[in-house]
Amino acid sequence: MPPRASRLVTTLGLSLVGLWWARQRAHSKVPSPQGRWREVTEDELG
Amino acid sequence: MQALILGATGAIGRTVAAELARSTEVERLWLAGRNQARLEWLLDVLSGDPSRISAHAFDLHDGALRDRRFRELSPDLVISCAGPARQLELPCARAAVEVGASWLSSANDHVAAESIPALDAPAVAAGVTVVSGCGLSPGLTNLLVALAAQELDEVEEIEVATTRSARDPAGQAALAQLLIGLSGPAPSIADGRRISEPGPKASHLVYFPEPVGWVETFAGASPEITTLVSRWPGLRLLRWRVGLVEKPAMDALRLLAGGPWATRFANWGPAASRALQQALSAWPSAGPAWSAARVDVRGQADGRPRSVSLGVVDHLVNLTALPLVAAASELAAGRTEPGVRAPERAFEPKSLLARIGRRGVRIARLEPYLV
Repeated sequence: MPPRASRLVTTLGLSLVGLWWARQRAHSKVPSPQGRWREVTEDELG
Repeated sequence: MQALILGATGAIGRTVAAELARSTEVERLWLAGRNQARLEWLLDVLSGDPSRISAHAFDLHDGALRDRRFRELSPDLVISCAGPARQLELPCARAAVEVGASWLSSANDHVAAESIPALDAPAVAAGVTVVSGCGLSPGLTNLLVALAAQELDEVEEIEVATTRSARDPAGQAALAQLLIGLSGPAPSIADGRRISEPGPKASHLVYFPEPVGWVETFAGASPEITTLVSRWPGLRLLRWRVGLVEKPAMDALRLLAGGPWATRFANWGPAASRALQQALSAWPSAGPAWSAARVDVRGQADGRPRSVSLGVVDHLVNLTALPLVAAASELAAGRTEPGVRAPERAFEPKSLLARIGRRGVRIARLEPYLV
């Protein structure tokens, strides 16, 4: 592969990897749980 | 009770049919749908007594045929799992009232919901009850709000949020309705005034019962905005939000909802809904295909601010069908007042939620971490 094409492919590949990584980081930032979900028993519903 | 199920061959309709076929409260069950072959398959699966369970293929869009079938069958209760609600809810509910049948539906279209109160006088005169929207949302969400409100002396703010998985098998028609609900302005109450938010723009993270957890939600249109404000007219805030568990699928749906074709999606038929679900569920995602709902009701109790958060999580078919089945039992028992009634007015919430819970859909209460 000619050197210019090789550099282009490498740059494109690294850019895609970088985009994917940035997206993964962004979506991994979720808050911690707000609390505990406790079942409402049948007794509580009368 | 003699019950007619419309849309009996759909995912929700099949579940309702199966539950009612087992019920001793149902003397006669008629299953209606468009597809004769699917109806025969359903009859075969239910393997019921043919003198008790039978199938009738007809198109609800054919008004004359529909009205004739209703008169011939003369049910006590019509349960509609058919859509699109925007086209079918009012004419079919009216036809049911005219033959002296109560009406129960899973309709979740806010435009259709605003036309249903016109049936109040005819329903009262006929001595029947019309409950439009008694699935997940509206339906289960209304009951959860009513249950939470019982713990407060004064209700000031209500927020309702639902989420579903794009991969939920019963979600095909729900996805189509979601697209329609996201395609226009989203009515809500803010500072005590009714406003319209401009569709799915600003996101809001909501923490649903596990295993769903945090989901990005957006403002949309749903009948709760109309019915809850009539039950609690002094509300300072009322908001309804929805999201898909799979974020890429929700992003794609919001993009589609912005197009001019979105509001006409209901006319495209089940093939379009199926194609939409297949496209959205193609996104890779982790975890099971759960759906969930959460309500937050804030107000005053014993002179102090108080907040109550309740939620449910299950597959969409259970969250939608089981409230319908439980409500059908209540209507059959004659414990509801005649007229058009929202779920929170038609039924005592603890009683109906306990009945739904015995069928497997359990309610959860959020106990916040104190930090």
